[in-house]
Amino acid sequence: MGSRIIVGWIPDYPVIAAGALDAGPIAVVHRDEVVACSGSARMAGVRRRMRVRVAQSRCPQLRVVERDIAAEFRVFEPAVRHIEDTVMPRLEVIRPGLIAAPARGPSRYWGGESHLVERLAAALDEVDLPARAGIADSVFTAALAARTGHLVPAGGDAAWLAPYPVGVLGLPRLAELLERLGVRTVGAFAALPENRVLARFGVEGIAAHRTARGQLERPLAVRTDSGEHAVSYVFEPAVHLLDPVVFAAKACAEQLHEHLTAAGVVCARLETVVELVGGRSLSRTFRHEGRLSSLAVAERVRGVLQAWSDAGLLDAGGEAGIVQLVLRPEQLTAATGRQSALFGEGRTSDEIERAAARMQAMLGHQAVVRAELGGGRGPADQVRLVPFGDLDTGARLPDGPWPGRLPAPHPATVFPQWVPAQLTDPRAQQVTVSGRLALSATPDRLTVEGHGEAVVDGWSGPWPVLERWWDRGHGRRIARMQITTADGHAWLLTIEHGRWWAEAHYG
Amino acid sequence: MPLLLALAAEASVGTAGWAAVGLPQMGALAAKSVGLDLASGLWVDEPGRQWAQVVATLAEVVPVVLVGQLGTVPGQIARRLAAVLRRSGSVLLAAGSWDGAEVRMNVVSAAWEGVSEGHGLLRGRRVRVAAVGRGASAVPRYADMWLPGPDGRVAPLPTGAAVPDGPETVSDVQLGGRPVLRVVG
Repeated sequence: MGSRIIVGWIPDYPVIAAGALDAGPIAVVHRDEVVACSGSARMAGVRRRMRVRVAQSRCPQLRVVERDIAAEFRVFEPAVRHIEDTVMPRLEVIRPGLIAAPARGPSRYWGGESHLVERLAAALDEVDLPARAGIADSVFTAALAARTGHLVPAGGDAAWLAPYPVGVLGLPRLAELLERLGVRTVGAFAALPENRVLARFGVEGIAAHRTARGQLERPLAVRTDSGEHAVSYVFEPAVHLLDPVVFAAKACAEQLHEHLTAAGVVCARLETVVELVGGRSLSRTFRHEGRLSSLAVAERVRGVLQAWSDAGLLDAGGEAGIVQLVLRPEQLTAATGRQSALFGEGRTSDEIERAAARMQAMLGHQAVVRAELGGGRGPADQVRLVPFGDLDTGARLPDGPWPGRLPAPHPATVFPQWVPAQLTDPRAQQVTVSGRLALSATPDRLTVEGHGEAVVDGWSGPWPVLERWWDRGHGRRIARMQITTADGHAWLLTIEHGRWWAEAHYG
Repeated sequence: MPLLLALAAEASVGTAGWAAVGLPQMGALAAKSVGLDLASGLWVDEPGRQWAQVVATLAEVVPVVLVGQLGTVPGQIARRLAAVLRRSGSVLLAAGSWDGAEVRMNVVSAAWEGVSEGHGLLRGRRVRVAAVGRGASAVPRYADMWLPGPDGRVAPLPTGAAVPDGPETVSDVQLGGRPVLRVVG
């Protein structure tokens, strides 16, 4: 008979990781969408997957925090270690705040499944994490059962899932379609014949259908020997810094993905093993499901390494250093075809990518960037620098009308830090801008630090920019002016709090 | 800086990409409007002490490399880079001084248009660019042009009065396969 799986779930984990569960309504957002929110925010009507603006309109005092997935892994790591030490030795992290483990062995050890669930919740309680746990035959059912703390009897997954609405399957588009077709519950969806589901909804649909019937998302592969696909990287001499390891992890992940693609398989989990000087090794397993890019793997490795390093695990026992990094895929299944990411694939050649990678090894991952244009008003706001090889995952300002944006020609020099400037009138008094945007006097001379003094030849503006007035921390109120000088230069000047700055130089 | 961008745009047409070393202040919007393809560009803003290695690595594979003010360039490093450039056929455009440059170009006079006392918007800049080569071409040649023009691009000035060389010189100079250029201004 199939396996039994226990899932431990920590509600609102991203909020806990952000360190602000009790500090009023707070929402953790990613790409303008609420990922998690605190209890008080939920009372005010904030929900997951809600746009930030909607959430803020429902709860005006909401504090919005950008999600930091690496930090979440880092904060979660001690809890995982605690469970490994006290409850069960082998588990996998689905995402920070959600762990899964085979339940058969541990439940026999702890004297029954209900004892195991209690034990897990208690262990997480000891590290101050409010947790719930559930057991079922499949990970999906167990995760759902964990929310209510249920123990779904063996073989009872399908029946237990049946009354849930199709929305729980986590595929909004499929759920919407099913509802329009009159299939409203998971049970009704599960009752559809499998071949019809495959014909109508494709691979994704059939995976959801298997889930709905309480089976594993993909059939388990009989072959469990995954050693042949493991990829390792030996550091000689042992390294102490984390950056080279993360870099190696990225390269290894790429190699691993190539191996797996060549073999036509995907792995459900990826085990990362770090071997240390002195023969000790640390390992951590991530859920992969063929979804992670090599960069995402590297990001997870970085998070875990940082946690181990913070906990002092990497240099315990005198000698320090990492000797080897191994990435081992687990639970291989046939690849049923998932579209690989098409976004962010530059039009750069392999050679240039290799050169960029060499420089990233030399100077650090963040040192080599490419620029992407987005929304924003100022010349610097419209440019986002993305580390080479990364997808642009940050919160990007939307396109759309940006009143106050300056038209072309654009400044050729945009100072990373605004340069202090002086704009004076013929009596050598500083020119000021009133609340009604009137200049106090005719500008006569412009001095930009490091660029000398020049006679002002023409000016236009000031144009007001009042940005993010709703946000006390980030709001700013500035006015911009274009100034040309007699020596043939043109500057973009900015006044903020009565001080002039050179924001950019046109040429 | 506008001259550097214009040269880079001209040089990188139809090539695999370009790279900017030590130029964190380079305006991406201006670069785009002058014709540089941002998607194929690389920025290394802070090369630090390893800048020579960074530039050499890039010059091996990237057809157009822009460098900022990197301080004095020791002769040995300049020679080594020149050898790399000869081998790879890449073009190096330096915003500062560079010993052994094939061509030095600078803006000798410039006047912005569009802004007057209290109204208007910057529209374009008329410039006169001087190009000084080495050896036989050491006599400066001049060209008048819009840099940038009203659409952000470089365009020849229609007047053409008493201008010995057209602005096409800009492209001639670097597509002639000369490896090292120096740009001032």
